[in-house]
Amino acid sequence: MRDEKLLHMLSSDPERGMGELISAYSGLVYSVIRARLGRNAFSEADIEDCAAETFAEFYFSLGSFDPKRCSIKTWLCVLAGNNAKDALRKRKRAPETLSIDEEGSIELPGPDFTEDEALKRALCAELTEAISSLNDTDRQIIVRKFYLGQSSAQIAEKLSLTVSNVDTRTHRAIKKLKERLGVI
Amino acid sequence: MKTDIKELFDKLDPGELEMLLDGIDGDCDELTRERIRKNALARIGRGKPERRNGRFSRRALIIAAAVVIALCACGCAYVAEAREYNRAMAFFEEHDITAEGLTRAEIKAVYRDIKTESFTYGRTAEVIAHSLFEKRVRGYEIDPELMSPVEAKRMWDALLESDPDRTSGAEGVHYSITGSETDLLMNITANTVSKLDGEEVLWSARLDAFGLTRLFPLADGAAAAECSAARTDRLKLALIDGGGSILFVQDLKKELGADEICSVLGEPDGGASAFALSRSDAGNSVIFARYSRTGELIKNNEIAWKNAFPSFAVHMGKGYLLYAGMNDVVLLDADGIPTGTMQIETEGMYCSIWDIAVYNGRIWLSGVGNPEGYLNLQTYCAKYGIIKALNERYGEVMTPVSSDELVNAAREWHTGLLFVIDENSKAPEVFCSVPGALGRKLTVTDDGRLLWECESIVTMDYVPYRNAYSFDGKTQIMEYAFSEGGELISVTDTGRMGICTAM
Repeated sequence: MRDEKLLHMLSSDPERGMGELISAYSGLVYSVIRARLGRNAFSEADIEDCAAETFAEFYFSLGSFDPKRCSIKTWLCVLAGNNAKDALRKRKRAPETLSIDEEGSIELPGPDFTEDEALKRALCAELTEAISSLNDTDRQIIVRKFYLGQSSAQIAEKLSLTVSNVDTRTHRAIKKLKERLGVI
Repeated sequence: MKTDIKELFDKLDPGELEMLLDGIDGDCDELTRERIRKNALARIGRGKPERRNGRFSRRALIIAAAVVIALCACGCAYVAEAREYNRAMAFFEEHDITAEGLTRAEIKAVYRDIKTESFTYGRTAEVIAHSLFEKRVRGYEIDPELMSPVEAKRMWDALLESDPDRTSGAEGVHYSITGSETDLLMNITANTVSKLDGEEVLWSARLDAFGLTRLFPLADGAAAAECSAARTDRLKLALIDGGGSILFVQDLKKELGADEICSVLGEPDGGASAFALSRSDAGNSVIFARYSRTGELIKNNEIAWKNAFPSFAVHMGKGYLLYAGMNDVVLLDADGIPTGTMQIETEGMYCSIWDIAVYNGRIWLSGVGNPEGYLNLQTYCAKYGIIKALNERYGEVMTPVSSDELVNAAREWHTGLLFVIDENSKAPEVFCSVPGALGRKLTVTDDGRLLWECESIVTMDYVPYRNAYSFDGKTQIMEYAFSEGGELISVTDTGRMGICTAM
């Protein structure tokens, strides 16, 4: 598998291994970071630095990386997200939130769950299951839009759809997610 | 109340995220990717960071300096000074040292400092360090301000050793790429493969529209491969006969959908078999393609591949053996269909293979065994530094680290291993092991002996100003000769030294 080869290369020939790793995943890592920092007035250089730091961190944490737990791709995304959060924290700027229907915020009944990590974890699990239950195209649209911050036009190009089709599918997918999560 | 999907995405654990990322990719342009690559490599101590802002090229500075020289030469009063400056610049050019950022006086001062081998001038270390970065000499990420004259001298020696022009020419019969042609956009448009005996060119074969990436010497001729990065169009295989004639050029990408040629073997009928790795999100596969001497594809199989990069292939009986990276070998029949796998293992060691050879009907694998836990130690060391790693291991007794202690540790961590496999083997068996050594090259001689180069670790030094989390040491290259019967005929000190990096 690609991951095994990459891990072996990173161990035996770090320079080549890093080259392969970055060639394969720089677009994704860059997008994850850009989605978090780009809207907070970070420069392109800051985003690139954060991406480079993510790859370096992955290299230095090879010993703790467990391929059975997740793929390199996923682990890089986790590291990228954490690094972006750290960068935001350093700027002491609270991340922005978006409104419900257009941008995917979900209204929840009951107590203020943001104060309750257990409830939030449960919601994460439910959300994962709900997104996984979508068809492949809708799943990709939701992940690209809300995780990678891609625009409808970018998603349309990636998935060979029209922009209006992406918007329609987004709307329907969010509706399904809300139904699935028991939220009106 | 509301919460944000984006916020929830950031709280997913890796297992949950894994479920959602299938088929998801992002975008960044090539320049951005390159900058990320360089900056990431710099962060792990393997290169120099890339700046976003442009800067003057070395050539421009050299030209500018040359203009200054010309102006100075106009005045007799400046002749002597100009001569020294010219000598300094020539010296800089000869050794590919950049004069970027140096004043004229500094260039001369650095030149004098190096020529006299005093290494006491403040900017000398910085200049050497910069050039080492440029040449990507492994392991030398330096804070010049911390360098003593002795250390600067050592860096200078490393810089000289890295100069390919200073390395002696290859001896005996060998292949080389003697000329690459590029178009105005610097795309490679042709390559010339040459077979040489010492410095004498025996033949040359020009491959048009071929950006040669790998050359596979075969018993009679050579196979040239143009391997591409994944998902690009160019993947070609050329077969050249023993006289330098190109027998065929095949485009594997179109036919087979592969994206990297890993190994090529000559076949008894004069054709060749290629093993190529195809990567995709759906899973990797190894493409087996058997060509006739005229380039006709006569056998072709796609093998689902869950192993690492298949770096070596050899004939085994009527079929093939593929080294699948890590500790695995895969056996294939003559049609390229997998018939079994074997684990390369010996008690308590993680093994990696360096070379493979077919000798006397059996397959020999040369490599290195590291004790279990060594990889964790490597990673720990990379993260926390050498001193801390050693202190963890030896209980705070390793500061400062003596070379003798390092040699002992490195010898403890490495064992040279020679494995053998035959058609009846259920697993590779350790044929020979040498503690404190690295199994390297295997050669079958014309007089029917198997030579195994095994390098004994003899020195190991920790360099305090280095930030590469590794030690560099030297090895003594020993040559073990075996007869067809498998007896050890001789052990010879080749007199050559090798380089070993531990950690």
